[in-house]
Amino acid sequence: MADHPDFEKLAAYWLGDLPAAEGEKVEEHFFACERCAAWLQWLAGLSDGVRATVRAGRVGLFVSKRFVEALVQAGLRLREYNLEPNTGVNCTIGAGDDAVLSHMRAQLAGAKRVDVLRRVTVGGAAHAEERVADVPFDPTVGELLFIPAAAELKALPSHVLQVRLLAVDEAGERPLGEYTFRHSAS
Amino acid sequence: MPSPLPPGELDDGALARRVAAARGAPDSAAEAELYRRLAPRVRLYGLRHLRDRAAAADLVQQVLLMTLERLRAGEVREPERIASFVLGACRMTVMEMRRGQRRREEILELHADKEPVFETPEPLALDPDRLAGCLERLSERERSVVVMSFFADKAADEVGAELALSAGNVRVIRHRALGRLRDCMGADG
Repeated sequence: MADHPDFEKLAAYWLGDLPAAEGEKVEEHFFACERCAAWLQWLAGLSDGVRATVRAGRVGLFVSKRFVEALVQAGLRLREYNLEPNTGVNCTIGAGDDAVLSHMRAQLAGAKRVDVLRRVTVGGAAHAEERVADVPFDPTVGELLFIPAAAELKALPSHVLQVRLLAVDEAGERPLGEYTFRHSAS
Repeated sequence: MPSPLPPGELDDGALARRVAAARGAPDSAAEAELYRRLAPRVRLYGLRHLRDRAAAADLVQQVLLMTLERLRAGEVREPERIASFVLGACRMTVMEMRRGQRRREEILELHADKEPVFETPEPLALDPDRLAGCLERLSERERSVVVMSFFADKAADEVGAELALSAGNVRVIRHRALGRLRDCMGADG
């Protein structure tokens, strides 16, 4: 069949991103086209797979407030920690927790890009600091929301995680805050 | 004259003609094959518009059993354009479901007890270990955009509003991330 919609258009259709008339054309096409119907099934499988991956705590994520609300609506049990800049917290994850949510407050207004530097110390031995470049954030919210992979966190021994947030732009780097998570294995 | 080929070797239109031609004695093999082939497309339509698995499963039953009934009764004018007929039925049924004119139970009762049970193919399930690994390999921004888009099936403008990005920017990130996920998952067209 000629004129298959490209994959991007199928994804846009699946996510409700197309104007109604264009969406109807995609529907007319995929009802008569097994190949495009198969790609849509792959996208539907991706939706199911993403939900299952998040529920199982198998992926770490920087998220929005609305996404956190969606998790709660979906029935996930969240343990939350709120940190002001240059503070620390004693934290853990319990067997009954589906996820841990860290609110790292910071002066994000005007920041174009935020990088996160993380260093884990286990039993007094500090691992190398790792840099995560260009994390997603909303500068109007005044905090960075991070959900670590719960499955991984539950398997970790007690440790200390030090996080530094940096605003990065043409002029250089500006520290936004440091946060210390003293994690007790449960 | 209906095709003598096995149902699995016929296209949708030829199958529909065969179902329509078998008026007095239903061609159960052709009916089952037509149902098996169209069910995933109807389910996709239902999931896309109703965002609810159970409602999408009900839609599959309602639309396809009605379609078979109409074919047998000779009430489908162009059986060779059966996909188009089914899409029309999906649109009408979803509209009715949304208006609340028919409750799910009523819809299912319409065809209860008078139809054979047709097998609906299982939805495609991606390998969970592989998907988790492939999501981990995306950049932070790509991962957040993909997960926030697909967890609740959200459009680019909604995701963009949550992350202070333009809808266009979200589409660019999503496009790149989906390309990488497809490669990583070994999905090919």
